[in-house]
Amino acid sequence: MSILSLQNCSIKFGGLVAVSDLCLEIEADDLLGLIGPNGAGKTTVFNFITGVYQPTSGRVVFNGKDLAGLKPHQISALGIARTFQNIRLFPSLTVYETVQVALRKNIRYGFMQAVVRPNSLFQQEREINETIKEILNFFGLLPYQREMATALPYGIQRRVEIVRALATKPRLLLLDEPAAGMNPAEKNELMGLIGQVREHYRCAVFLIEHDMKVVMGICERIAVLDYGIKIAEGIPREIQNNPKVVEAYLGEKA
Amino acid sequence: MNELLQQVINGISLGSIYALIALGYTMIYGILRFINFAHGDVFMVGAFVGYYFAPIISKFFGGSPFANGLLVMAAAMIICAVLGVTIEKFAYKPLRSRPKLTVLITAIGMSLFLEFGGQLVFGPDPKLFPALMPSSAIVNTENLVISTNSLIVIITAFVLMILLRTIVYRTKIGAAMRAVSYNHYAASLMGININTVISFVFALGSSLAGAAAVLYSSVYPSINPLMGIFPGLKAFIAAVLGGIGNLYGAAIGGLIIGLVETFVTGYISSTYRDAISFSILILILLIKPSGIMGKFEAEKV
Amino acid sequence: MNRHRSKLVLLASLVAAGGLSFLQPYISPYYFQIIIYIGINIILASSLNLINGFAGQFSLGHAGFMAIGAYTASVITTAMNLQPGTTLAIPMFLLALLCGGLIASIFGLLVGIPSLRLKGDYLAITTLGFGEIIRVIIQNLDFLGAARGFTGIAKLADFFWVYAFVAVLIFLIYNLIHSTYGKGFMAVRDDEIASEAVGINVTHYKVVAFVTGAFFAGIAGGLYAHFVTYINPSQFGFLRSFEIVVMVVVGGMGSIGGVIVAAILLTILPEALRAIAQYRMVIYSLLLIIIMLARPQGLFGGGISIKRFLKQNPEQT
Repeated sequence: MSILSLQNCSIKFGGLVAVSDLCLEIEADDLLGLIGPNGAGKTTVFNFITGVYQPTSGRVVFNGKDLAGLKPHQISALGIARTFQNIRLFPSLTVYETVQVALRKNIRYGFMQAVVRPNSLFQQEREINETIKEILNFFGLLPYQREMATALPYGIQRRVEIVRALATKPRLLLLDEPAAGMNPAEKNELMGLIGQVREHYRCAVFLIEHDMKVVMGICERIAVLDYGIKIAEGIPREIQNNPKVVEAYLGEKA
Repeated sequence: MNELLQQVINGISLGSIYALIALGYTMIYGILRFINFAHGDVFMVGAFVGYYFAPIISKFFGGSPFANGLLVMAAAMIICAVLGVTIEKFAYKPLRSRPKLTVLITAIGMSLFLEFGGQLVFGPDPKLFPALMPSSAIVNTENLVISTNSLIVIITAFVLMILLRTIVYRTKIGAAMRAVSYNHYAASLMGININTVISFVFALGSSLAGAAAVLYSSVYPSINPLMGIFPGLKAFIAAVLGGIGNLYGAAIGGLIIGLVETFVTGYISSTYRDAISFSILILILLIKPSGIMGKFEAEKV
Repeated sequence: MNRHRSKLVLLASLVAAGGLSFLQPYISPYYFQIIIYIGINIILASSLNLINGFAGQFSLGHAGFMAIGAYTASVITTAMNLQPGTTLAIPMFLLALLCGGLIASIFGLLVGIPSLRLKGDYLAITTLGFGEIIRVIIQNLDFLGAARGFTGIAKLADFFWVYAFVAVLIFLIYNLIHSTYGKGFMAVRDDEIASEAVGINVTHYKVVAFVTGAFFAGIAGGLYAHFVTYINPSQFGFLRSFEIVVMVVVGGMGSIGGVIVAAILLTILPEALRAIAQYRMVIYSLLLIIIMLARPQGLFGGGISIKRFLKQNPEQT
């Protein structure tokens, strides 16, 4: 059974149809790539999966549940996490606190207990602390835990953002252009990281990427979007040789 | 019936003044996406410019009251324009790349600075704005008085609005303004000097506030350094009501706020006059935050 | 996280407040009044800091909440004809203060709801409008004395009450923001979309900040009313709100200690410099502008964290 299913999803902004009649299935252990020229509507797809926008028509079904009308934080709670095209880290939080915020749903106390601090709170905070240390250690971020997340080098910021997403224990991870702005060494590291994530977290990964080396290198399946319409879907080799895809990228043959 | 007509005329007269101030808010918002809290206080300065210049102008130029009135208004417009541009250069420009919160706090600071700096310079006590031209009643029946003053206010305001429309839609700098309000970066790639355009918008908006101040003070002649607060806030509400960033919206919003306020004062109680505009603001923000003519802007993710 | 330290500090502060209140007869009434005002301003500024500084919801209506608390508590104590020194005075005064805080927090909820849809400038001006509406309504309510003001309030607030609430509020904010739950406030302030994406309910945090902040502003209003014994609507105008904002900005948004220092200094300064009293608001306004230009994290908020937030380039987010 697929974990995420987009059923005839369309979204319009004013008169502009950004995504049209999109159908897509993602399996629980998939690594699916979404490619397409600039402005094809790729990020918009992420935005309506995560509830930032509501699709104008069509259904988004995650794990058998229709996501219509849910707010982004509720969708996050169901198990979808994401990163952003332009990294969105919290400017006033450290790496440690950034992961801590993402563990918010692990705590079972509220405002009152946070203020009066019963003993059960300390137990929970200790668990949170252990989880943070564990995650940071696994991704090699422990040395940076006290640093402000936005003060770190670009590649590490990307990594922090992925780790923040993973801290919510997602079953589906959406990565929006994770390799953008990275040098070749960082890109190789990123590909290793994504492999690590799948192995350790056992979640499906759905990624938008422009870098063909990254996409072809790690994705098992690729979907191609052009002007909001899915023009192809298949394994990397099929996509590389698909005339429609070549046309979308290189323009019409003369 | 006459009473109703009277309220409508008073409302349009007050509303067209609000509209002039609202145009400044809306233009500055359109181009910088922030509310210039100090705009109402630029308006106040305009009133004091009129107060100090009116005797000088009538003494040295000695033209007809109409010509003198125009000169007083021109003086207020020019000085307010200079003030607006100066405020932008010193307080807002250095913050252009910062989060909105810092600009907002600076604007509030600037507003308070003009208000209380004004108290030091002009004195805190109300002053009587000189009558620029003898006001006579055109119509004067049992309960309907239409004075030349209120007609002059309405006509002047409309002439200024048409002038503004011509500048924005018929001139090169107006086209540049519209381009910058659409996209700073793209406009700068087209060779538009963003800083010049922003200065021009501040000059234009502030000069309208200066003109509005002279009109306002000739109807409500008691002026003081805090007088800009409420007209400023109400004009802002008018801009939001009409759809902030939209010129026609500001004009319509101004008229609506002027009319509503006059009617509340006339038929309910003047003590609720200030509260009603804020209630309108809260309602419009909850029901249709984009205003009457505004477009919805989604945050880009 | 140190298990008992903050509770011990709270207890010690309460005992100290109790002990120090016995010094009252030895302090001149003038200085005593300043000390009380400092306490009330710390409550006002710190509670606003929760809304403006930690949750990032710029509110200009704090005086409105203060007014609600002041009038509610005064109506209750006056109706019960409480007199200082009687047995009922202490528990009933506490009850009246809590009622004032509660009613204020209900209004905090009402104001918090638009804050879910409004940002920055719009929210600021809406909260300012809310404060003005409160003031105008009180001005028109005869049983509250309308514009003449509300007189004959018993002088029930003393050093202990004011500083006990200071201690409780600081304790509350400190514990809150040092918990995993409380980190959510800063996340919401920094980036709402990213917060939602990691499962933070932005609505919840904004409303909690407004309700809690309003509650303590209401308490501060109640204390103020029962110290000055006479209140009128013009004491709670938007200039009052601005003054509280100045304390928060000068002290440093999101800095607990900085805001306390600023509240103390900005209460003493106008008194110490009587000669320049007329320049007070001009100095305040210049402080706001200069701080935003040169040191947006505030004069005493040394924390690097908020500085990064206030200096970030929005284009890069």
